[in-house]
Formats: sequence, structure tokens, C-alpha cells
Amino acid sequence: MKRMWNVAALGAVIVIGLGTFAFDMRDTKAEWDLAVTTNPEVWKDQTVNLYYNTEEGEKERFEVTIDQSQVTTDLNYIEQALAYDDEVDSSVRDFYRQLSGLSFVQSIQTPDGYIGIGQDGNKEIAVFRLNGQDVTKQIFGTDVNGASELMDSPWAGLFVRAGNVHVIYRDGYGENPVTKIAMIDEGAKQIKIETVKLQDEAISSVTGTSWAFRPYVATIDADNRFIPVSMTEQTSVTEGGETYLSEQEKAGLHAYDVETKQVVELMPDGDMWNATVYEDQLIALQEGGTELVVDLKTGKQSTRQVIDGSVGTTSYVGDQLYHARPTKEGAVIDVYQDGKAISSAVVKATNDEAKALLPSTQFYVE
Amino acid sequence: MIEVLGVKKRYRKKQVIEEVSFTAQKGEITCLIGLNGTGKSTILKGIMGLTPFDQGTVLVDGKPIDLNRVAFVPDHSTFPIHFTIEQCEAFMRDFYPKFDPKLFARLVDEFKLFPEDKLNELSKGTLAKVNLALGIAQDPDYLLLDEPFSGIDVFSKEQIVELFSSDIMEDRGVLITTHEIEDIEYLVDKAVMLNRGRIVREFDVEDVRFIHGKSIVDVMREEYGA
Amino acid sequence: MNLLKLLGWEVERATKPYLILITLLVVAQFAWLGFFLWSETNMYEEIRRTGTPDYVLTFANYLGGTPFILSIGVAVAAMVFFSFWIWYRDFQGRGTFMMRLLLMPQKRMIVFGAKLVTMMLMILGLFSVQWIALKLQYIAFSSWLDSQMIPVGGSFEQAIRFDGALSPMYPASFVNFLIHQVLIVLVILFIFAFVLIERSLWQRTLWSPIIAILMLGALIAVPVTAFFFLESRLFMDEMMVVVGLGLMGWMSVTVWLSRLYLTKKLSV
Repeated sequence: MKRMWNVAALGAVIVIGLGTFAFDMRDTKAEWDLAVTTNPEVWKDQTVNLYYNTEEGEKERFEVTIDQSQVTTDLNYIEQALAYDDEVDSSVRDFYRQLSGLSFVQSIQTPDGYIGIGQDGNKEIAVFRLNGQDVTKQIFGTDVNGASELMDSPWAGLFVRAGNVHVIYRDGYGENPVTKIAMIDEGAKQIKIETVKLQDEAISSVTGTSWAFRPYVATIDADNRFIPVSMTEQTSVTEGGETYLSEQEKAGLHAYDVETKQVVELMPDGDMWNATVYEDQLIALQEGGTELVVDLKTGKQSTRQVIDGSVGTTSYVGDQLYHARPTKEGAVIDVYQDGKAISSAVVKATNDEAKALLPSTQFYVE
Repeated sequence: MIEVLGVKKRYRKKQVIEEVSFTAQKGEITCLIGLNGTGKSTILKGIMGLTPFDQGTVLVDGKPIDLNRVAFVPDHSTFPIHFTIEQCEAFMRDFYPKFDPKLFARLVDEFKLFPEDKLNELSKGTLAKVNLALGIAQDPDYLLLDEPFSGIDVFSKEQIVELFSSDIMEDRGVLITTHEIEDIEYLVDKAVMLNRGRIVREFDVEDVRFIHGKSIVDVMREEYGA
Repeated sequence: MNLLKLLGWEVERATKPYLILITLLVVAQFAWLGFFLWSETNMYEEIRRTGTPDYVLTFANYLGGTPFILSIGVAVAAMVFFSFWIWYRDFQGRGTFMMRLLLMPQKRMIVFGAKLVTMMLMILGLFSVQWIALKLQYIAFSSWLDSQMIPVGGSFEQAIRFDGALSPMYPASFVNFLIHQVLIVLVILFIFAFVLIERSLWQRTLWSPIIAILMLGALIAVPVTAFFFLESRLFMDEMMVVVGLGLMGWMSVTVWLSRLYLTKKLSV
């Protein structure tokens, strides 16, 4: 029995230590509530993300839906896996599983389903299409003209036209980049390459193209005439007697015009908060709460006033604009579609722990 | 009865036990005799499962060995050297269900041991007595002794030999290994002689003594040519 | 019950070196804290005399110091060493205690169980001592600097969170803490399996440690290779299931191997 005292003493130390640890463990009790004021349909599958950040680096994340309020910071491994399992739609799993074996991957969602393109080392390019539940795959080896060049180059993004996937890419690394477009003809098993005429500029990315796996991707119409892109420009800088090229993001909204085969400027510089490509529209929220809408089939532009004032955070989900304004108890979130307010909801801190976080919390709908 | 049937054991490249079979009866003292390095200790350890045999079986009264019924006394301490005799006893009481504290107390008394002594303070002879006391106090049906007399003083030897003829050892089967047979010549009932990992002779000591007029040492001399 | 009794013996036998280790750890850390505060205070005074100091100390500065990291390293190394030693000491010398343990008319696995639980108790004990010591060190740290009117930045949690060596000690949740403990158990199981295989073969071949390493190396390498093959094909949640199954597999195999060698092949 005497010997059990050693074990008991060690056990006591462990219990005290665990107590200290449990005391230090950050376990937030804050709870929130989402109450829909008008048009509950909009909120059925929507999640409000709450970001709490302080200058000391404290972080809390919450996800609030109409059913529940969830902490997403400091999840344990099992909860993380379950949350992920929840998030990833089983219908796209097979599609992304095929893509994930590849060394480089991009994908978009069109009304006909997901289309992805990836490359396996420098051996081959694969085009995947998800139709319903089936994933089809088409391989372009190095024997196909242009495949090698495409594999050696960084890709900016994809669009679909006349049923064929087009890859906008940059030919070669380094100075004086040339932007090219590869049309991948799956029927004829050919790759046709065209150069985009640009001077000291390059297309860096195609809006709406997904580089990694993401659960929610907006749908983009095939056969849009205008393909919204981001541009970079090269300027030569002379510093300390040495001249070198500097490449920067170019301000403004740009699109590649498939018919004239040129990049057009939709909007010169100016502050823009958010932009989204949805089906055949480019919607960009500008300073002052005006929305610029570009019809990507015709190029017709229009503006409309949406939000009054500039307080709060905004985000686009599809073609819906979510505007969250902080209030004393939480936030009011208004939803706009086609320039009209379609729904409104209120996020409230339901307990004191949540109220304490309010001053440093931001609200987003994603 | 302990039955050792066709056991073999190899260490690295050396076949230490070629193929050995013998028996040891309850109520008798069986002596495994052999020069140093003939595999005597290996056989005892093998029986106890301490160094498993490569082949062969060991049966105790027709069944696989039951450590409650068979005790092993090696020629060295099996406890950490800083343990006291008391601690050794406490350990035995904790894990050997048949350990008999009264019997142990009696042996401590007879051997004139001091329970608070640490093992590393004891002479070789005293340590041998402690080992023996710990083994016998398990109240086993069979007792396996490995070289109980090697390197110990003459008085300790006498005490141990005395014990063998006392009531404490009555009805127990004893399997003993030694290369110093003179000390227990008259106690041994059966001798099993080993040479180079094989049994060269297995005989009833009484028979040899009365019929052939030979002692164990005489037989050893014949066998080992010493 | 026998397992508990044997645990008592094992813990008793480990007490002395364990207490020495803990004392060393705590003394080294507090000595370093003392030195750290002394030198920082001097430096701060120096700056204060020459101008306005815009210099903020955080607890992380102390935790990032070599002596502190070294003390944690020593504790980890000591526990790894003890996982080996808890077996090897029983094979030491001529008077091998292992012989006594194997002769016990008990299931041999209680020896294994008692040693495993002893190791876990000792490791959890170290965790606990460190948790308590860190809290005390933080109190000492902030109250000393407060008294010297030296600004302190950041909180205890922040310092812990951004410290690579300590973050495994402060998992985000209790479930993760348990999972970390399971991983520690797994490491110990591998060490135990190594010792038991090595000790079973040592009389037959001089290559026994190498054979043991190769066996366990294969046991580690095969699933890890399979894992890398699968990694790019699976989603995070599926991956977690695979990892979970892999860990359970490793646990069962190491325990099974240990049991096989301990009960059938071990030789003293």
C-alpha cells in the first residue's frame, strides 16, 4: 500500500496540472443568433461568418446560420474533419479527386457542370468534365501540338466558348511576357494557340477561375463574349543607376473580348470594394454604394444605386450582395439582387460573452 | 514429474543443447551434472521459459508449466541490488500468490539473515541463502536450483545441505545443477550427466552405489576422463 | 489489482531519477527567468537613461531563450531515454530483475502494462509540472516587470500560442489533448516493441538491434509510403479517417508484437 502513495502523489500532480491547463484553455462561450426579418428563403443555406480580431492577436471565428451558432476557432481534429465533411458536397468529390492527383489544376463551373484542367508533371494535360455524377477525362500528351508549351507555362485561367475549354496563359517566365490563349478541342484532339496583342501588359488571372478546391464556386456562362480578367503591367524603374522592370497589378476592371481578341477596359481605376462574375454578368460594387453591371454577352454597362452610406462590410454570393452594418447588439445584414433589396436579417449577440466581443467583430456572408 | 522432451537450443552459431530428454520425480533430488558450459543452466532456464527452447516440450505432471508450482533459484540475485531482503519479500508477497511469509520467516531465522540488509551488502553465501529462502517460501512442488554452491563459504554450504534433509524439503521435487557434486553426493537420488549439450548418462545413484560400488564422482571420472 | 501493485513498484523505482529531473527542470527555468529579468531590467534602465524607450517585452521573449528551449529538450530526451531504460535497467548486470518479473505466476503483459502506465504517468506529470511552472513563471515575469514599470506586451495565451515548442503542450481542445497523448503512447509502444524484439534476439545474433530496427522500420515505412500515395487523392476528412485507422493499426501491431516477444521469445 505504501507504494501506492507514490502513484497517488503523481496522480495528484497530474490532476492539478490538468486543472491549470483547463483553466488556460480557451473555450469561448459566445453565442449568436440569426433572425431573418424578410424573405427567409434567401437564408436557407447561407452562413454568416463572424471574425473577431484584436490587436493582441486574439482570434475567434463563428459561423451563424438560421439553425445554429458555431465556433470554428480551435476545433479539435475530429470536429475539423466533420466540418469539412459537411462542407464538401459529395457530388463534386469524384471530380476533384480526379484533379487532385495532378501537379497543376484549375477549374470553373458552367451551367452544364464543372470543367477542370490539370497537368500531370510535364507528361500530359487532362481535361475533366463533371456531368451529373460522371466524370469524363480527355488526355493531351506531348505528341499533341502545343501541349508542351502549355505545360511549361503558368496559367491565368479558363473560359468556355463553343463547347471548348480555353486556357489563358503566359508564355514563358521572366521579362516581356506574351499572353496567349490555347483552345483545347477535345473532339479533334487538338490545341490551337493564339497570341493576345498586349504591350507591356499581361493577363494575370481570369475572374471566377478556381485554383484550388473550393466548395462554393459561382456559375459562369459559357459563350460570354467578355471574359473578366486581372491585368499586370510592366514599368521600367531606374534606381541607383540600375534599370529594371517592375510588374504590378493594373488598376481598373478589364475583360478579354473574345470577338475582337483584345483586352478592353471596362472601368478605369477607382476604388472598388467587391466584384463578382455570375452567369453572364460582372457586378462590381463601387465607392458610394453604386453597382456597375456589365452584360458579358453584349458588353453593355449600367449602374445602379444599392447601398446607402459606406458603413459595414460587403460581399457577393453569386449575384447577391450582402451588406452587413454593425449595430449595438450585433449587425443588420441586407441582401440585394438586381439592385433591389430582397431580404434582411439581424445577427444578435445572445449572451454576455458574445456582447464582449462585439466591438472587434466583423460580419461577412460567404 | 518434470518431463523434458527432446529440447534443443542454439546460441548464435553454437548448438548448446543438441537434443535432451530426461525426467525429474517429485519427492526426489535430481542432479544435472556437467562441466562448465555444458548447458545445465540453459536447461533450467528453458524449463522456466526464461530462455525458450528452439524445439521440444516441457511438461510438469503432464501439463505445461505452472509457475505457481515450480520455483527457480538462480545462482545470482534476481532483485535490484539496492533492494533490502524485506523489499524482496514484499515483492514476492505482492505477486506470488503461494508465497508463505511464515515459511520465509522461519528460513530467515534458520539462515540467520537480517531483513533490513541490502542485497549489495551481502556475501555470496548469504545471498545464496536469501535466494533459496525466497524460492522455497513460494511453497513450490518443484524447485529448480542453479549452482547453489558455487563460490560460497563452507558454513553456508553446510546450512544449505542441512536444509535439504529437513522437513521443509519433504515431498518437493528438486532439480539441481552443480559441478561440485561432493557436497550433496549423499542427498542425490538421480543423476543426469551432460556433455557437449547431450545426455551421456542418466542413472539411479543408489543403484550405482550398491550394485557397482561407484560414487557419482567415479562415474564422472569415467565419463569426462578427468 | 496486480497491475496496480506492479505500477506501484515501477513508480517507486523511478521516483528518484524522476524527482531529480523535475528539480533540474524547474530550477533551470526559474534561474533562467531570474537572469533574463535581471539583464532586461538593466538594459531597460540603460535605455531609459539615454532616451525614451519604445521597447516592449513579451513573455515570448523569455520562452524563446535558449535555456528555456533546452530545458524542454532535456525533458523530452529524458522521457525518450527512460522509455528504453525502464526495460533495459531490468536486464542490467547478472542480477537481472527481468528474470524475477518473468517468473511471476502472472500474465506477462502486466509487466508491459505497468511499464507503459508508468511512462505515461511520468510524462503527464512532467506536462503538469510544466503547466504549473509556466503559470508561476508568467506571474513572476509580469509582476516583476510591473514593479519596475517596464511595459509588458501580449498575454500568456499569445506567448504560448506562437511558441513552436510549447504549442503541442497547449492543444486547442481537450479532445486534441487526448489525441496528442495517444500519439505519445504510440511512440512509447514503438520503443517498447524495439526493446522486446532486441532482447529476444540478442542471444541468437549480434544483429538483434538492427533486425529490430528493420522490422519496426518496415512497420513504419509501408503505411507511410501508402499514405503519400493516397495523400493527393483524398480529401481532408477522408485523410483523417485514414490517419486514424493507421494509428490504430500501428497501436495494435506494436502491442501484438510486444506481446508475442514478451510471452514467447524473450530471453534473459
